[in-house]
Amino acid sequence: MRGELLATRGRVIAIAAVLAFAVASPLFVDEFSVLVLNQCLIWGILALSLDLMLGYTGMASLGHAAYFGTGAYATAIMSATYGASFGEAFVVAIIAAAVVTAICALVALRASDVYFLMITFALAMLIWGLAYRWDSMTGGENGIAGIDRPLFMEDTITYYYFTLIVAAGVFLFFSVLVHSCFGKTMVGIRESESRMRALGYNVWLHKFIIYMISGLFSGLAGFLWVYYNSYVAPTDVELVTSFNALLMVSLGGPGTLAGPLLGSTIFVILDNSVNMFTERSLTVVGCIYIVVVLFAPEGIMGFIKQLRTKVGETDNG
Amino acid sequence: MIRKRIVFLVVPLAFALAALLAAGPALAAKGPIKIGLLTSKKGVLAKHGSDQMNALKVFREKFGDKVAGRDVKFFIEDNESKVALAVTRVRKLLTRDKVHIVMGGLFGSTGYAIAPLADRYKTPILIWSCPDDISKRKRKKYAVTYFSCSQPMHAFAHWVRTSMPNIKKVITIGPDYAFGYESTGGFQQVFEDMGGKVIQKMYMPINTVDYGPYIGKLKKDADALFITLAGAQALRLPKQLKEAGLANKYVILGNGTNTDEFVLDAQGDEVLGWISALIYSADIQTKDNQDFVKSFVKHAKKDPGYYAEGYYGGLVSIYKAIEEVKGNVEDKDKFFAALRNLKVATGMPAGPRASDGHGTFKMNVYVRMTMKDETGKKRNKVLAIIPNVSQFWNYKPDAFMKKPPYSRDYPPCKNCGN
Repeated sequence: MRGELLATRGRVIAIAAVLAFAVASPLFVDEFSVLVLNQCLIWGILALSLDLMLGYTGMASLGHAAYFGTGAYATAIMSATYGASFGEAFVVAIIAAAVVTAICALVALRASDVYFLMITFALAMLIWGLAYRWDSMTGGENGIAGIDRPLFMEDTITYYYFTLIVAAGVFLFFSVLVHSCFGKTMVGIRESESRMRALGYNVWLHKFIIYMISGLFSGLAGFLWVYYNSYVAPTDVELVTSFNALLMVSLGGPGTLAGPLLGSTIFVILDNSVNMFTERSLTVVGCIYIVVVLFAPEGIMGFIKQLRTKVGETDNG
Repeated sequence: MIRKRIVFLVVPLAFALAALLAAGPALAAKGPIKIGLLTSKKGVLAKHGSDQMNALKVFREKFGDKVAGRDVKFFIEDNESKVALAVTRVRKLLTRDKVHIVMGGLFGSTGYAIAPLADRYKTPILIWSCPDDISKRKRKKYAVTYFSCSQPMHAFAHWVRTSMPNIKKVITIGPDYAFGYESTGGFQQVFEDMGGKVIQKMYMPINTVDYGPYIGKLKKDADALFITLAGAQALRLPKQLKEAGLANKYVILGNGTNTDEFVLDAQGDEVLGWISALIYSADIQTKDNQDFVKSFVKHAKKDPGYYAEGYYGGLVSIYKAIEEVKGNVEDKDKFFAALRNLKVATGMPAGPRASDGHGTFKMNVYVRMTMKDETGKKRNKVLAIIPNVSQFWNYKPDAFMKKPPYSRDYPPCKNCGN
């Protein structure tokens, strides 16, 4: 009991520390670092939404670029082509992400395990194909440039704070979600689908809802990304994006909330820093990932958890 | 054991974090002049990027890291051939390194993506690729382009109509993005205005591997193909055309990138006899160019192509602009005005260039034929020099800009029929 209390207190302190760092950092770092931190947050939201499926429910998806990309393209098209406002673009992006996610979910949920992975991947490639070939709408390989943020958040730091508030909100929502009864059901589905079915749960519906939530928040990440980068191209929707999201989750620790955020932070920072020193940045980053996977197969959060149990054991003994 | 694991995990991450945060904000105003360069060291454009880096070496060897009495520092960023990443990298140059000017962009689309950053950060960008509209309908306050993709093709079409009047019907083939549209559009516009006919247009994805389906559809009654290739396409399509037995059936015209020196050595004899146009050829017989070729060969062990010359020429232009403002690059408006209104008479391998007043430059266009010299080495022999070509060709700028930009559907293919 005492241990649990301590753990909770530790968690609160950790969250407060991270939040304090995030809020204060623009005061003492340069603009580029703020841009990088902003990227961490946006990819963090994408990783969190993937983790809901991958870590909590055991549905490995290789197609999150599709929902991310749908949000991103809807925003870009609304903003650059139709001159929509920030709010209008947001509404359209979320609706578009919802529609695409629903269609994909209806198809993909007919399969499970590796087949599920393949179907999500194939569906994502369809969206990529649209982005690439539907020239009149998406600009094809040129992408869409010149998406301007509204004036009051045109400034890098203001937009960073905006993203921070959104990310904090998403984190809060997800932590309520995974600690609710619904969240327990998710874990139940991950552990044994047949048992959950035998207990009378509508497993398909649960999975569908989780898929929808995950897709919607990926779309939100896409929305934020477009206003961040003021540019969108098919490369944002390709396999690499899905794969990166998967990497962030497994790096940080699937099935935890801090994990994806940590994973995305490490990923973005490595991505932006290693190439300052070497042309072989991909090799260096690859090696770091191999080391992490070898020494912490459950991701970094899993590793910390394991460490804590070990320390606890020695304390008792 | 556990401690060891922690060390393994923490050390690399700590390094990365420290690197990012401690690389340090830029020094105060009057340090060196900082020039940011964007290139591609990985991905499909890695080869072009390596030509650019060699051109940079040649440039620094000749002009040194000093201009107008101030030191120059170069910041190089690699966008890994990805357009979206170019935005991030250029932002890094502008916010972290606080460079005074940025040059770069390999794809036409990269130009469109990074151009808005020039105005956002009020810092001049010399867009090295050739996005048409940045110097036409989507002009920026702080961005100029090195040239315009359609610019050499207007002149080329004129040359084809005057020098090869037997070529009346042409099929166009190009990559399915801005560069392809602008190259093809430029050719078609002038070619048809001078009585020629484009009877079929094809656009294919840049990473197409098998051109069979496209080649099979080529209309038989064309006199020539007008081809635009980018990246690895330049290796694949010529081979497959030859395998299909079509290499001698049509006269092959095209954009100079088809047989640019960056890829010429790797291409087979199937490109011999191809006629193309561009703003450069290693074969130009001026002293400026011969000197450049000689030093480039020393570094790269191969001839320079337009990717190399363009980078070198871009840097020459930037130095010239810095000299004109007497090194006071901190006055961005003046510095940019100097760059925008630049006139370079000598020192450029590709010959003189002068501002056209619209955000890009007038320059020579070279019509070249790929052939072997006495030693058996493939070269782009210069057949004709069309001097002082404007991006608007002979059209009136205002009237020209009222028309839609060259795109997949413009100019429309009036003679395609079925």
